[in-house]
Amino acid sequence: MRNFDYAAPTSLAEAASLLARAPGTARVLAGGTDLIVQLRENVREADLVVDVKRIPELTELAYSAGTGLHLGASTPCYRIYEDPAVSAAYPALADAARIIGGWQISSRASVGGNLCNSSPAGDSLAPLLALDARCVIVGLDGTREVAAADFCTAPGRNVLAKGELLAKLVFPAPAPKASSAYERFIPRNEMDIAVAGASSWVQLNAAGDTIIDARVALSAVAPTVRLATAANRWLVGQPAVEATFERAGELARESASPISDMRGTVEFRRHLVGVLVKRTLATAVARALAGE
Amino acid sequence: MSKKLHVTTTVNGEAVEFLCEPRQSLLEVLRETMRLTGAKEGCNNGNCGACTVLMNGVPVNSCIVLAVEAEGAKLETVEGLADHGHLHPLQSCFLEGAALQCGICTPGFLVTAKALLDRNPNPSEHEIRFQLANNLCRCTGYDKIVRAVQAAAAELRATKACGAGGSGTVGHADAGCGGPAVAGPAKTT
Amino acid sequence: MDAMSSGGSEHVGAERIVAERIDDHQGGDNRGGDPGGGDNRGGDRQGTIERRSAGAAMGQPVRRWDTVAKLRGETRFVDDLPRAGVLVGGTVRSPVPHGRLLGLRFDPAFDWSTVTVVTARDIPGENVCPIVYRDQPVLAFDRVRYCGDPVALIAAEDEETLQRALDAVAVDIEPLASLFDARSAELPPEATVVSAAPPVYGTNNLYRRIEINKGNASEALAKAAVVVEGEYETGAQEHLYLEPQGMQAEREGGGIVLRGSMQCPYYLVEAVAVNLGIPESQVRVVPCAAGGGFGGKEDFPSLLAGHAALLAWKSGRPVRMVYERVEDIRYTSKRHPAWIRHRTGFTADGRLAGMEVELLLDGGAYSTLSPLVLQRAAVHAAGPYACDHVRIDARVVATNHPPRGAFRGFGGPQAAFAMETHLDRCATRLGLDPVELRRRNLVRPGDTLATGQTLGADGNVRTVLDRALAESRFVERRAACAAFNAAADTRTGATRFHRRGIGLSCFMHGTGLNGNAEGFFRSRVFIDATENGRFRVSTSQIELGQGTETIVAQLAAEGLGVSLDGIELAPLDTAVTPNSGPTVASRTAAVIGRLLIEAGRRLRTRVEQFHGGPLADESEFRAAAARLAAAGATREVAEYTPPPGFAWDEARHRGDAYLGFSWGCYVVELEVDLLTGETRPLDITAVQDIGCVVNPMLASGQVEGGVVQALGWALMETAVWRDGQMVNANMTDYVIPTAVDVPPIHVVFLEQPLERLPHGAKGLGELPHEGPAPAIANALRHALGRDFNAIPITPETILASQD
Repeated sequence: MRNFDYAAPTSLAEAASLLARAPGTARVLAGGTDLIVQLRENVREADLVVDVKRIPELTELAYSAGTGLHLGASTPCYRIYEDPAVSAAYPALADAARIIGGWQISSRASVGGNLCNSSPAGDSLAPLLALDARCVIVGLDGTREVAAADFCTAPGRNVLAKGELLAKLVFPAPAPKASSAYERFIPRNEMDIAVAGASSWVQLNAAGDTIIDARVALSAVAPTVRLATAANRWLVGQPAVEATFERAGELARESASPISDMRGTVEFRRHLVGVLVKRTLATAVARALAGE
Repeated sequence: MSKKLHVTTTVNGEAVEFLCEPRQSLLEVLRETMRLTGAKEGCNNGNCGACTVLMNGVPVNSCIVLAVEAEGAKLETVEGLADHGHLHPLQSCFLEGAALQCGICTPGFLVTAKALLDRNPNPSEHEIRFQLANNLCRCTGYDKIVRAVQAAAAELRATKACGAGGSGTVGHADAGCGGPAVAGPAKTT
Repeated sequence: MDAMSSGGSEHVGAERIVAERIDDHQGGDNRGGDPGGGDNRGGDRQGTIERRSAGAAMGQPVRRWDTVAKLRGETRFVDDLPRAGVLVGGTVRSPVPHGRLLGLRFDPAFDWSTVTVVTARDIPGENVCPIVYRDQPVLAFDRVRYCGDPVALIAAEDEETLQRALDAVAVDIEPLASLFDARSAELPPEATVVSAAPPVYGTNNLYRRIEINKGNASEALAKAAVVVEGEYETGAQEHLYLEPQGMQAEREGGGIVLRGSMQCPYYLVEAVAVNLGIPESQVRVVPCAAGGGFGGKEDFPSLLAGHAALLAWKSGRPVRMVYERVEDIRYTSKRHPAWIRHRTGFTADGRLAGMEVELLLDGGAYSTLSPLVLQRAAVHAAGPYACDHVRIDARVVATNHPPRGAFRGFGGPQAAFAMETHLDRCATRLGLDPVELRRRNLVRPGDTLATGQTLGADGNVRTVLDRALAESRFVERRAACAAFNAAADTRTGATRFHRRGIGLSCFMHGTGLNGNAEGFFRSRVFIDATENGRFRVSTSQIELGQGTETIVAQLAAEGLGVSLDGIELAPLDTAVTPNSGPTVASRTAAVIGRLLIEAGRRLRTRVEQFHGGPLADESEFRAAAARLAAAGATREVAEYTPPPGFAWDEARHRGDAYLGFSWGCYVVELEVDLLTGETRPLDITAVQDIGCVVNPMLASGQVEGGVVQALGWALMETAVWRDGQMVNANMTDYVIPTAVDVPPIHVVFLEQPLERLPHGAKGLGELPHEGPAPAIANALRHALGRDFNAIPITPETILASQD
């Protein structure tokens, strides 16, 4: 691995300053589960690595039913799924956090890092879109926010400009009669990169028989993770029954534009979108009815 | 170009200081600087778990941790598992149950299993398998490893219930990991 | 035990006792006198055996000999050796799969005085890696034949310098057309040069062809009532031993010493002596602990040892070459991909009338062990079935893939996959139950296999089948699967799309090296009495994790009639250790076991003669041995000679292909998700007859590990090739089973002793890789009603099969 300088700032301002003033390429180090491998394999390079885990805001996990979840960008995934309140309020996020690699990976990897790596196959990305998370970005000039759905721009690329870093993710407070789920398909049962993934968030009416709002998001089937817009529009007002989930799955397939690679063909990925959307909708509805 | 950085950390309960380049992995420093070669390099990209050590109580793949990140951290490696020569119950149950073959994956399995039992003294078989999924083994087929972790969990629970300290073989057979093993003699080398 | 009749009656007795012991387990295990036997060794988890031996140690589930150091992280593998003063070595490789090597250009901007460079011209001895045919150079000099073919070596003070040096070498190559499809690799005889490129090997790309003929198969097929044809295909498999290849070489006196990870230390002695042009007596090999092999460390370490030795020889410094995972996967051998065609004729009542098998292996760019892998594949191609008319035509050809090599099973698993998958299809065509079809055709004692080898009393494979059916409750479970599938539409939710199936396979694995090879090696072991009253055992068998050290100690103790406490293992060092042959071919327990028992018995006789009478008491016996040792040399040497009556005609492939055969019958029950194509094994029953179980705890570990490795081969392990290079050469993209992917595995051992050996042992290590893949394919066929004739059977192939 080529050598680089290392800094571990303790404040956001210091981090932004380091990133802005670095002479060459500066990279943010959160859990390192992608970055260190990429540096070693010369997929990415760095002149300066800025370890942000000593900045208190970056490792926060603050949840209240009233204000929602504030998730520091480098908070390791295991803290999400080990927190019962957060897991109950945002099940899709917990579903993803639990399966980002094995335990050794989730000990280090963060949802913020997963998002900044901007792989279309990142497991936590679809839940961010389904849960309507917002990204708080800090730079020398201050703070800005973008919707998670607008964060990634291409495989490995995102809206962060030089000198900016992702500080935290903000999730809206859980709505009544609403819940969510994430599922992916991999060829073995654990520890693999998604061939396709889907996350669904639904809100039901008071009677619990009709969908009044829904967001379905897809991963690993397009250059970036994306919302299944046509399905989401159609779902509003539909009965919360299996036929609806099935139809939504078919509509979601139209939102996918996958490629063929060693993990799967276009046809296989498109097929999986239908299956996974249907399954995650069914799970999300069941969880909403169970009061999760 | 980069200067060596000074890092202060705790390894198996002892304060340790070392110098490293920023690019050096924790695995590299453990193995080459500290000569703790128990953790192994199996893949060098976080997939096999042979390099697993505990960092502040949670298992990490030390091949994808920078050594400088260990500043102020509490590290535990397989070398620290036995207590003054007494095997940890996990080690004795792996021994009795033949839960290892070539031995490359073994240190990683032991420390991950220790972290699991520290958090959850009575894990289900599925929990054990799931939490060990980042530790690959090509020799055993995993069954004996899972049984050994269950046996060690039972022994640790029994020890705790008796209020007994230490990790010796007391309560060993009672907890179900005794078994019919016949003591093997020492090897001369 | 030498007479067939007594062996037969013993087996019947053993069978009964096994069944009784299983009943014991259900009521609480008290083996070994320890009531705490407990949950991790209950009957369903641990292999159950009946020990036949009267010896003190054999048959006992003794602890692994090598365990405590491994558990403490203290075992030293090659990469754990101290690094001070040791150069790191690396390899300059061909960037193309086939071409003429024009030369190497060394960037003048790099300071070449800081490193040691070795090219083909620097090789003081022969530029050849001697395995079987001597076609593989240690460093390519005129042609490169695969992507990654080594062309030069560099040793540097540190990794960074090494990497810069490797980057500063350009390899000039005139590319030649590449050959990747084994099915079109073989050129017609007397080929007038029509191809754009010269053959990869010889004149026609054919490494070896083996024809086995018994009776007249074509005539028998012509007369058969029913003929069933089928084509089967298996893919390359990566060993993925957790410890990559590694070797360290250092000059010592006028010679050289090698330390590293290997299965066959004496192969390295020969290879390095040839490369350096020095006598074998000047090459010393001291193996380190080895982190798994599975055949992958049989032939390749000879090449790597040559490389490390050449760098150490030229630099005068110790040199270490330890591959990183990507380099290891890309450039070391794989299991041979295979294409196998069956034409099988039956009588109207479902008895085998004639069998024709055509078998093709992709051997890759150099022959390595391919000629021998082919031999085992050919002998196993017709399976454990009685048929008077068999023709097997087997070929292994050259391609521009990296060389294929030894991998657990050595051609046997490919043959078994085709045979057993084919038989289930035959059963359907015949309107017979697949179990019944096998029962009608499995060999019995006195029957002959395809090579004409006559089976002894241990050749009763129906016993194995019957036991597997009983242990797995096959008939009951098969009905339950059918009921589950029939009721699918009545279910709601995900399980509506789940289907279940159950399948089995019957298979065999020949013990030890093929034919005359065991006789050729003349393996030797030593046992010495020591003055401290112990017995020191010397063999060149390697502990790869399979438990070699432990069973070697047990077998020596058996021969001597002492407890394990009386045994010491001499450290392995070819300067002093006898050559007991390679650690391959499931040969240690059987072949080396025989030598250990013979040497032990002879040493006991000598001690008792010295003492002047029998010594029943162990402490008295050991005291007498110590006195004998003090009086002078006490070494007992046992050397392998073929047992009486053993005969193999290598030219015609007739006769005793192996000392004997282990038999297996595996049952797999699984569930498939029709929507995603996922296969989830639910339960595996593995019943095998291995003659004599030396250590049931270690033996069941071999079965469990082999089953899971084969499960990966059958369902998920896909090597993706592009332009002759494996593109998923890392552990992110080449996936093997994790702890979550494995169902319960129920292991049962039967002991039908091999009469040719004093302890009756047959091979175990490779056998478990043969059964799972066809049982899985047959279970999927049962679940979905479609054929699966190729592996791996990935979710995508299952979905595609539905379209």
